[in-house]
Amino acid sequence: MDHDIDGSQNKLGARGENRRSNFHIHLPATPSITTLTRGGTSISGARSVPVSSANSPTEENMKSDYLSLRHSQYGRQQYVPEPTRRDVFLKKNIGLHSYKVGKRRTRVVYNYDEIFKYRERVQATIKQSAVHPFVTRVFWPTDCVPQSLEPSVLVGFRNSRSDYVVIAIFPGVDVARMVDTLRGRETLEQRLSESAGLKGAYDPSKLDVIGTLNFKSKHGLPLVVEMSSRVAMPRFYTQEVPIAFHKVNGHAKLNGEYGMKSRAMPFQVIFYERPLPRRLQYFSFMPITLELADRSSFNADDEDRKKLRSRRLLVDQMTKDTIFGFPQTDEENCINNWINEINLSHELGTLLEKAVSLAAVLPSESQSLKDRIMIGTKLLFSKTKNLLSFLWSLLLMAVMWILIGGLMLYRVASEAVLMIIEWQPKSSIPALKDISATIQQLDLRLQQACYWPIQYITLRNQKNNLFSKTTFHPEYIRFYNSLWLVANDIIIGAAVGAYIIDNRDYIVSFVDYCINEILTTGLRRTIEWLMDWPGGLKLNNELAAFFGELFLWVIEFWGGYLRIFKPYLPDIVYLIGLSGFVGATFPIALIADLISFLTIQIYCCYLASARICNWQLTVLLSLFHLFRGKRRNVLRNRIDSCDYDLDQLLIGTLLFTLLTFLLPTVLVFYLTFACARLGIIIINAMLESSLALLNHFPLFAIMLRLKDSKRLPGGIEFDLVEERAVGEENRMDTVYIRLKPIALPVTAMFQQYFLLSKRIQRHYLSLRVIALLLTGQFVPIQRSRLYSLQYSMLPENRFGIWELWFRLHDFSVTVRAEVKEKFALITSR
Amino acid sequence: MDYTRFTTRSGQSYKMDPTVMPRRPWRKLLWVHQPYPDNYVDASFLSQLKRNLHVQQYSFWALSSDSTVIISHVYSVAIFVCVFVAIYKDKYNPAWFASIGSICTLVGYFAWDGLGEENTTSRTATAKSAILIVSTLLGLSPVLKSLTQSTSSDSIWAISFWLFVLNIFFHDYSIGSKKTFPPTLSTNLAIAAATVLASRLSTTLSVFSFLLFSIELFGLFPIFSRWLRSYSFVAHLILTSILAVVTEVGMFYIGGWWALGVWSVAIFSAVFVAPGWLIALQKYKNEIQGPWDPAKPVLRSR
Repeated sequence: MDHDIDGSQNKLGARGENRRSNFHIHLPATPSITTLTRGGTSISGARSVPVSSANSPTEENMKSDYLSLRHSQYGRQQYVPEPTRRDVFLKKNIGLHSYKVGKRRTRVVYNYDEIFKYRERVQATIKQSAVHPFVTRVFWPTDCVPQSLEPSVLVGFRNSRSDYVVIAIFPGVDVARMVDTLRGRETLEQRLSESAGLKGAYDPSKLDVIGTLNFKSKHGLPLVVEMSSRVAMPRFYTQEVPIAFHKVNGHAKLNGEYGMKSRAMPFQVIFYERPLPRRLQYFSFMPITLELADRSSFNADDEDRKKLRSRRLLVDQMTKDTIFGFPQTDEENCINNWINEINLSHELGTLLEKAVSLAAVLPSESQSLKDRIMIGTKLLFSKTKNLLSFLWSLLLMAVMWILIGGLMLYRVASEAVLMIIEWQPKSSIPALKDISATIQQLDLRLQQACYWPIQYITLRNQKNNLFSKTTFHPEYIRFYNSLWLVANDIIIGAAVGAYIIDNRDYIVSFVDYCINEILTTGLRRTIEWLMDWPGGLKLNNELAAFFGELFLWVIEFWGGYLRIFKPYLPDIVYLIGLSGFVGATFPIALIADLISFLTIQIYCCYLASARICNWQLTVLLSLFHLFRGKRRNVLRNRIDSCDYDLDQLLIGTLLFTLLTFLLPTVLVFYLTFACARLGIIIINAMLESSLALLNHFPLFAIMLRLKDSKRLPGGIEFDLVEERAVGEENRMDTVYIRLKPIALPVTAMFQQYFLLSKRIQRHYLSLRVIALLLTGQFVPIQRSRLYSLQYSMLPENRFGIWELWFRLHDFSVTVRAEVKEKFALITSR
Repeated sequence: MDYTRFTTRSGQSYKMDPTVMPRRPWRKLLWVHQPYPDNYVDASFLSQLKRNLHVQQYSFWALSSDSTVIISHVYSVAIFVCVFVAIYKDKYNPAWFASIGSICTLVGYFAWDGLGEENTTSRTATAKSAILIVSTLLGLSPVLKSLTQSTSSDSIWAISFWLFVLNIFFHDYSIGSKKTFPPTLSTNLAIAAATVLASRLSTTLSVFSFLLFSIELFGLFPIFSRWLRSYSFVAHLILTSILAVVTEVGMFYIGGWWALGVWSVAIFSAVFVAPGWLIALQKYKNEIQGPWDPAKPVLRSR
């Protein structure tokens, strides 16, 4: 089919030689979305798309703006760009999702590595000059096409002369009245003022009656749609010559000469199903973010941040270098608008419908008896409903006042507890919450509970607002996720607690056995074994005996305290069981703390032996330098040669030989305790990661994903439905594309976990850590790093008491206003 | 006629008859275009080559007298081993060796102090460091005694053997009047070997005496012998002969006639046979020199 397009081009070219070059230059006039035309994939709207949009900045947006399309289903020529060096470079450096193409699918990929592919393709198409600039793009809502296909009026946004978003179809309405309703604005404004959030959410000047469906007569509206059956594809005609045409042809004479017959315009029809805002569905270029925005940056450690910065720089560089260097036109900018308009479509459509029906009812004065009765019943019904809702809200208000008082009391108390928990006498001394897992857990719960009222008020305020605003959806998910998790935690905790209490005797005997056999006898036996040439290792007898007795003393000492502690063990286990009723996280945290407490002696022995080992290794190293007649120059950080005195040499060498022969003994003791400590750390890490799972699992998000994946958008995709030649001479075509939301991938929900595990790997499974361990140096465990996951759903600085009070006060004022309104409704006739 | 076509580096090509020499003679200049192929080698290419220009002829007696420097160090190692064996087998009182060593050291010190031209270290400083070392030894002796109890004797022998080999290898045999101390590494190696050996001894007294003796032998004696060597070579020869006699006696006491014989043969071959062999090998020497400035790799010291 290429020759068709080429043919048209040739015609143009034949008329004027210069026009062809004009044609090239004005290419980007069509909207910046990839267009499918017959005979393979070609791209219109070649220009780069604006990068920074006012409503949603950040690099994510940049990503989204670069749309490109891969087409493998229909075209006879498949355009599959070869990966170039730049692609490879980008893929390596930007490292986003890989490029996925389904088998028979056309998918919009919004990745960075697509940018260049997109560009190259654009350049390729320019060379072919196969781009059609006259494409009119229409977004067509499939869910509101009238059943009987009666003549209807199309209302929607008119973003440019070649770009329409149909948001509602009104059957059986007179075009003139519809136009009056919309352009008169009185009823509309009145209607819209009820939902305050709509103001500013869209550009009212663009909202208009934009066409007709199955109308016999012409009304001078830009779009004319014909649909023979519900199954068949709608046919599109336009009265208007797209702007590109003017641009291309330059002057009116040409326009007249080649004035396109109205039905001969190529169309790009994009079907979409209107997302239901009441169900919190929406379309989005970007995957929904489940963590708080400031938190995600907080989570990033230095390396992550460095990567992010370089990525941002790269994107900056790439976007500066636009493809054509033209200023952007409305046609291109509209890409940011239409997703917003689609999200608004359902709510606006409903409001318009009400406005239209109101306009339809008002003029008709004559009502039949039946109508009157109907209206009367309706009125009565609504009156009782109003009364009931008034009483209900009155009750709610009373409860609310009690609740607010309770909340404030609770907030003050929790602030006091939090201050104790987070108190650090010195920056070097860790706070209580950094020492104990239980207190950490308490801290988390308290902070969550402090945040809930604020989250609830935000959501509640949103309820009176516009539903189509997509910003509060993540907040909603976060709020309910944390509520769900706490509920879940308590349910599991009750079971665990009951189990612990029921099996108390067994657990007590087990812990007793652990204390006796492992922590006391087992350790003693190990040390005695170490004192007696373990595994054939020839240790220094005297030193081994010294170490052994020292550590045995420490163990005995702590064993004495454990013996005092033992009678209280049943009570402690009972307490742990009871704490399960507050949530399963508490018994787990308590067990982790109990393990830390019972193994303090191992920690002490580890610390002592590590110190000795590290000290000995350091001394050995410097003595080795002396042995070779060198010394370390600290100022220049290198090894210099040095003339030592004879006595220095003699004593140094004596000590060197001595320490070399004593090293194995020290190492063996150190490694034994290091392994024991490592084991305890691993057990604690397992317990703490189960805590992280219980505290952070995206339960609600997964449930939403299963229930209604449109609530968790992860992007959009375009499917090619059909392309068809329409019109005379078989010259112009219409492409039917379906716009679909992509659900958020499950991996994206667990992104935090991936990040965390990667970070743990980087910090704890590295050669550096092994070297530190072997040389007896302290391996730092950054608890705050590990716990960043747990706090990712909370704001960095918790809201203060006054802040909460003000919010609660504002909230009560709004509720009171609502109640007053309802009261007014009842009292009014 | 069969001409060969050559192309020079600059791209010019020449037709040349291979049988007839070109008129202009070849010159050893890279930067001049010459009508010769790039791989052409003229007969005059190596005409300025010279062989064995700086080779010195050795004299037998000079060589053998110089070898006494090495021999005297080997003697001291041998004496040390003999003393160890003697103490280890409980044949003699270890205090004896320590006292003999100390007396010799004192004698040597006074000779060095009296005859030396200038002394940088004061006597009090020397006395201080001596007291320090002796007290350290006293303190460490009990620890050293039990240091290698769990290690088998064979590994200790092996360790000390290799340490001594390295010590002999790294020792400073230069003849000069340097006032500096002997090279650090060889001293350290010898002390380490002594420490390892000392840890095999059974009593604290023997450990202390043995270590004191070894410090005098490896720490102080090299300083004295080098000073003596630079002071008077005859004195050095006399000292070496005294050492030789002591060593022979020691060898005889330790290993009997057999050890004495082997030792004497080894020493004789080192002093007399080896220099003769070296002179005999001189005829194979082939040192090349020319006007082309051979590149010498300059290694940055330290």
